[in-house]
Order: sequence, then structure tokens, then C-alpha cells
Amino acid sequence: MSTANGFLAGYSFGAAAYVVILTLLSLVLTVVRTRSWGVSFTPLDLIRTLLSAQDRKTGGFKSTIRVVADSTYHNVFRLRRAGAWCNEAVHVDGRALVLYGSIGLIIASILGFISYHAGTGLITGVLLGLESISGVVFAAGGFILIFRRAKAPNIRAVTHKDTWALQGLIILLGVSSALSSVYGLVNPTASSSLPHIITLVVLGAFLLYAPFSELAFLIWKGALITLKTVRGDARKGESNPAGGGQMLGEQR
Amino acid sequence: MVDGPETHSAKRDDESKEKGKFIVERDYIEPTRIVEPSSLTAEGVDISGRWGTIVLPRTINEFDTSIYERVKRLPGGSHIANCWQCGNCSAICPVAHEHPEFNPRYLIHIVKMGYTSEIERLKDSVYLCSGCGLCSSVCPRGVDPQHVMIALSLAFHAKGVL
Repeated sequence: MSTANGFLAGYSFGAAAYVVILTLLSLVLTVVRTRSWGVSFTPLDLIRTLLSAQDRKTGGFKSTIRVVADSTYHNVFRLRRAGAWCNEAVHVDGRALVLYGSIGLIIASILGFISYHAGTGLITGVLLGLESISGVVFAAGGFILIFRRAKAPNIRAVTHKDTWALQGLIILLGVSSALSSVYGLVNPTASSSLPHIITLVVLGAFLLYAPFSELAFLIWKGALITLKTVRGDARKGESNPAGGGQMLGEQR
Repeated sequence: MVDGPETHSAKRDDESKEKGKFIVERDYIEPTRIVEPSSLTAEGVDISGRWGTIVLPRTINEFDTSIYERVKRLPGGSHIANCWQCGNCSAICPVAHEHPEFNPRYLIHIVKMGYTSEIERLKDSVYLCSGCGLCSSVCPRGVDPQHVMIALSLAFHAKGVL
């Protein structure tokens, strides 16, 4: 029994190391691709701005964090800059499901890993449940996005191959994550499982492909919008210390 | 009762908004260039009101087509030269309805012509694109405006405009 537990723990750490290494590799590839466009990697610029936020020019660390949080909440979580203006409800719903599903998957996977190694079985079960629901939500979003493009001949004709590939990978990753979590719930003592290994392979493919897809531009653009909001707020703060910042897209 | 400076300023704003409000794509013309004489008679015929609207010519001295050249080299921007300004992209764009300052047709036009001052004025609007792809689906020339907007954002940033 102890040998099985030891193998299970080793497998779990091995899988975590695989994900971390591939995530770092994906990050490096994203930086390289962004630099090939002749622009700086804005997420890094944003981190630099946050770190130097003690300066007077950037309005102080606390207010900078507040601006970043506001910008992220409105532009990303409430989808203001991520599709909410599109008058096709199905497009907005698809993006919302992919976004919330991915957040759920990341949180549930990280907490699940910690909970498993801390030996809290009940919480691990709850997190596996959350992970399977997030997987279904993620896959449903991907399916809606791909279906929207596939059903309209004119949109289908102009869709690039990388968009099909990315949305296909989203569906695969969502379905395999959901199946793997359900398998983990049903067989908590299994040392490893085919659904889990398939999920790791699909995740690897997703992480290696993402830097070469439109996702790289979305990351660059998202960070740039936040960066400009922070800098705009700092400039406004210089002329009017009591004044708050204005989000990009609010000016009419 | 005498109007204060704030009332005058509000009146001036209202007047600028009213001026030339029937002009298509009115947002792209500075209010100072729109002249609407309160009374105008031509050869004895009263042509006052909107019929007498005059748009003064614009003088552009600074041209820079380096952004256009850069856009053509970036992924997604290679077909920008095909644009013949039909405006289908702007007509179908859901963001343009919400934010008139974002107009894919006009952004492509100012970049092709190299209107530096207009690029500077409208630079932020390029980031309003939500990437839904409707513009590309109606473009008769295969310009793919959705991806041209991506190339424009990158070119503006690389050029230091943004």
C-alpha cells in the first residue's frame, strides 16, 4: 500500500513538474514571438511598472494595484474589452465560458494538488468536482466559439487555421480535464489513469501551440491596455492628486 | 439674467454637436471646419439651414507611410493594400456602433495615406477591436480587417505612436 502511495505521490510531482516546465517554455516562446513583431513584451513592462510603483510618478504601489485590479475586473472578468460589445450573444457567451472555465480549471488544479499532498481527502474530492465542472464549462465555451464560426459560411471562409486549431484544443482540453477529474473522483486510489495522461498530453500541446496562436496577441494587448491605464492614471494623478484614472474605452 | 462662463461653454459644446449632424461619419470632422450659416441666400433662393453646410478643406502637411510599410510586413496585415474603402467592415462592426471613434475603414485609410496627425488622434481606438471577425466576413476584397487591426496595434506600438 505504501509503495502504491509512494508511486502516486511521485507521479503527482512528476506531472506537476511537467506542467511547470511546459508553462515556462510556453512563456519563453510567447516572449520570443512577441519580440519578433518588433514590440516589447508588455506583461514584463507591466510587472516592471508595478515593481517601480513606489516612485511618485506612478502614484504609489497601493493605488497602482487598485488600478490594475479595476482594469482586470472590468476589462477581463466582466468582458468589457474581451467581447462584451459584440452584438452576437453567442460569441460573448462562448468567450465568457472559456474565460471562467479556464480560471476554474487553474484554481481547482493548483488547490487540488496542494490538498492532495496535505492529505485532506474531502477537500480534494470537492476540488475534483470543481475541476470537472470547470472542464465542462471550458469545453462548452470552445464548442460555442467553433460552432459560431463553422455554421456561418462567410465567417467560416475567413477563419484562419490557427483559430480552428486553438478552439479545437480548448474543446479537447476541457473534455479530457472533465473526464480525468471524474475518473479521479470514482477511483481515488488509482495510481495513474489513461484520462489523466491524455489530459497531460493535450495540455502540453495547448501550451506549446498557444504562443503561435492569437492568444499571444491577446496576452500582449491585455497587458498593454492595463499598462496604459496605469500610466494614464499616474499622469492624471500628477495634475490632480484627488482625481481617479480613466479606463481606455471610456472616453467617448 | 446673465449667463456665466460655464453656461456659455455648455452652449458652445451643444452647438458643436449640432453642427453638421447630418453629415455621414461626422465624428471625423473637427467642429471648427464645419460652417453652418444661420441665413444664406444664393441667387435669391434661401438655402439656410443644413443645405448651406460647408466643410472647410483640411490641410495636412505631415505624411508618414512607414507605418503602412510595417503593417504590410506584419502577420495579418499583408492584404491591407487591397482595401478599396467600401466601408462594409465599419457598417457591420458592433464596436463601431458603441464607440464611433473606432472605424476600421477609416483607420485603414489614414494608415495607407500616412496621415500622422489623424493616427495620433485616433491611436487608442485601435485597441477597442473585440476580434469578433464580422468585418472579415463581409470584406469583398479579402483584406481581413480583423487581423489588420492586430497588425495596426503592433505597428503603432513599435513606431512609438502608442
